Amino acid sequence: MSDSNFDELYDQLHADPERPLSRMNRRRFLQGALIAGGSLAVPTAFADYAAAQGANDTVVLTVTLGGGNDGLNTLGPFASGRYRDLRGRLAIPANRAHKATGRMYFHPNLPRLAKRFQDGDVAVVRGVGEPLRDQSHFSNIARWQSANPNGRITGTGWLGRWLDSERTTPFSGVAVGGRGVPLHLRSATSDVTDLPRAGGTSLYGAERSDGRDLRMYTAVRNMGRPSNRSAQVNRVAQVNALSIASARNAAPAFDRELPENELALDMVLAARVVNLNLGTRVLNVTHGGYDLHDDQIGANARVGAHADLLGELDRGIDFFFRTLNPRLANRVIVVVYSEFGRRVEPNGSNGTDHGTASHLFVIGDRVRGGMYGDTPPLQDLDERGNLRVTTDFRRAYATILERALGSASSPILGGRYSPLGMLGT
Amino acid sequence: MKLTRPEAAHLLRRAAVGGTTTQIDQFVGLSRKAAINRLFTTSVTPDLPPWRTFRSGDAHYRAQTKMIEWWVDRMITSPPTIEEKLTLFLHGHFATGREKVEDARLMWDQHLLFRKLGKGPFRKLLGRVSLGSAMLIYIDNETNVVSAPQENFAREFMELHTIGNGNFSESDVVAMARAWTGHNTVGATRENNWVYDPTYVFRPDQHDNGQKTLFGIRKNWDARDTLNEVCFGVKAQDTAEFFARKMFSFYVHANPSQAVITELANGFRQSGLKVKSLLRAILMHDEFWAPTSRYALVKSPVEYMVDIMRRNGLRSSDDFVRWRMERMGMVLFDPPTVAGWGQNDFWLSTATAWAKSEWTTNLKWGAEERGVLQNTDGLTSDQVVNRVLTFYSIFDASASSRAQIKRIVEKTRETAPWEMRHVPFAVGMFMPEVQCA
Repeated sequence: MSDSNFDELYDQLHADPERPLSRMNRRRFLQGALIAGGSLAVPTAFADYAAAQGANDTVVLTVTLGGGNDGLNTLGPFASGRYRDLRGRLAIPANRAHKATGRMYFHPNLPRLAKRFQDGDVAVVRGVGEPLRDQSHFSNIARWQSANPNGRITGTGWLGRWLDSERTTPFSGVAVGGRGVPLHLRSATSDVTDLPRAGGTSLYGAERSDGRDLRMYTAVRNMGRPSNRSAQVNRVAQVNALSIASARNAAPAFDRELPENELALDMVLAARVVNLNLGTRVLNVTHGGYDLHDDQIGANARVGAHADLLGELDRGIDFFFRTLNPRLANRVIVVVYSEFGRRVEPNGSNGTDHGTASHLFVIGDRVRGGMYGDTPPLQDLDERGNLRVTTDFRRAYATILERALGSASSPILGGRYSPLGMLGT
Repeated sequence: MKLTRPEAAHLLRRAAVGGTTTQIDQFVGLSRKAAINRLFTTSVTPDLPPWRTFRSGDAHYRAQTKMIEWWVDRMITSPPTIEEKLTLFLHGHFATGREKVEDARLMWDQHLLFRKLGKGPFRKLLGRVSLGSAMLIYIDNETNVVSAPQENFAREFMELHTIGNGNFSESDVVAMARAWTGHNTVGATRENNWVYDPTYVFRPDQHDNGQKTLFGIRKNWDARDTLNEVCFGVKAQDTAEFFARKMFSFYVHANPSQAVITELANGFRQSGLKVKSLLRAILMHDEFWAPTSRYALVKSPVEYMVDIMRRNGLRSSDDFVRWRMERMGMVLFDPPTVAGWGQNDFWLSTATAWAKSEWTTNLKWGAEERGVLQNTDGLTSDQVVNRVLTFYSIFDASASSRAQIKRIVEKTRETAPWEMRHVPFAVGMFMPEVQCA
């Protein structure tokens, strides 16, 4: 790109900070950046971000339950004698739980999720996971997020590869919470915005009334142009440029007050980003703390650390849908998953060790509610006392890619996984 | 080979937590070996304050804040030394967090171990850290008893601290958990969520004395046997390679070849697993000095903050350091997971960029008061650029960074000459070279 292009940008920003770049200039910038940048992702840092969602584009919010959620106590056969025997002190009493279907109950702290289930808006994929390789948090979450057929952990994730297959802006993929871009949103060529928990006009780049700031912004954005320097230096410069370029688009998400609870805060932010109509298609929110080796329960099984987390999750999902513009409600799905479930038998510290199969939830108006996948039988645990996986998690991904995001799943997942029926085409 | 200025700056960014241009210049002209020796022999350990310095009633949160401020000031003011960076590395490697451990004193005890034993034999460090209350509580071995073993400690001990994932089986996790039963803590009283002074205790009646098959060896394993086995027994090579790879990735670049790791691990084993021997080999390695390694890592927020604060003559009392760390996602003594902090690529995110920018743009207003970049009136634009680059100790700036600094110098002179004292300086903090290590 010639310097004159950047002088033009500079002067435009200077002359009238509120005036967006003209279409022609923008195109010229893009061409210039492409010539200079080769295969690097930098052109998006100078593109027009406010590309709205298509009228029928579906949006996917993943909620990552970090640490390994105890699926069996989230939605389980709480009245079954077998369950009560195996779970002992950790067994959830059925009389306070919310009936789902058949013998299955939702945890007492999931009343809103149970209600959505009764309304037909929740699909439960049971026994979801993959054949046991190990029970490390890190390699399991990395395999879930990489989603390669052979369990190979790669630098890109399943939604990141989907982004790569699309024409994207930096708001196509959004990680909410300011804790880094999770692996499943990492892509080879697309920028993903990592939205912090606080911002507004304090997001550097959003405030454009001061000429001094504008000169700074221009310098930082110009540093983001790819040039002959080490790859990491290029990438840092690009992220800096990206943060400035996207600040003004992201700032309105902070306009109104946010809840204090961290999950609710992140869920409200996620909904606001979708409402802003910035072309966002995939988002992630992470809810950590599920690795409850000890003190999973309190004085009784209805209270304590796990019950608190599920209560936050229940309210968080509700916050999301209540914040979401109702006109978008039938275009958005929420996918709740975790890297593994917990061991069926409790350990000695009122907790559970790492397990295998768990549940994956898909929630939203367009979801065909109900149970998918087979329930792992409590009578037939594996040699470690874990639930057996009945449904490969990549089948849920194939469903989401094909029926929600409208793409062929095989190229992204590297293999053919038959979709489940939880989403219509 | 005598160190050039860019090489000396590279060494201090990596082996130490950076340094000013004056400090860097004291390493220029030394041989690699002499420069590294100086970093090893510059130790400030004897000045460690007693715990009561941080004690703040029962408020462990406040004590932690004081510890953070103390450590940041220490990193800023220490002469260039390997000690501070190595302590930061070990804190991430043996991650424990005050929020779960609760008692800040236990975190302080562990911190002292990193400083006092960090350079020495890994076996001793591993044993003391593993049997320290902070670790026993953080990964739940305090509740690991024969009647109901629990696996959290066993798994993370192998996966994260010693032999690495893929080098043990699930039945090893079961056996390891049994071997560590009864290694608990005692004296902990909990009131209003505060824990007071729990210490390590071995409870023979809570220990599983049965036969256990660990790493294919059947015997009555105890915790100490497992420490020896992972360091010197059948898993010694796995541990040496795992630790060497982790350290290389932290100090050099993210993608070491297996050949390099094997070579480093072999030397590490020959030294009796002396950490200083491994670190020295890493710093002496040709790949460390290769031009492709320069700026190949993204600075963590703590490294970035310390570097910027030092150059500006700032101390923790000048800012809300803990709050800044929270915004940037890296609070000392509270890593996010048992695996410590993400590194390098992890910090490539708009959220981190915004948090850094928010901080640096506040700093720029004080730049003039602090006397940064005075008297540029008689200087050419290129001279001002050089002054900015020297201020940040970037002696090998990319053409792009140089051009953008020059551009803003010229634009500022033209349109707002009264801002010359801080705007070029502020743009310098955004140079990608300043944000990389």
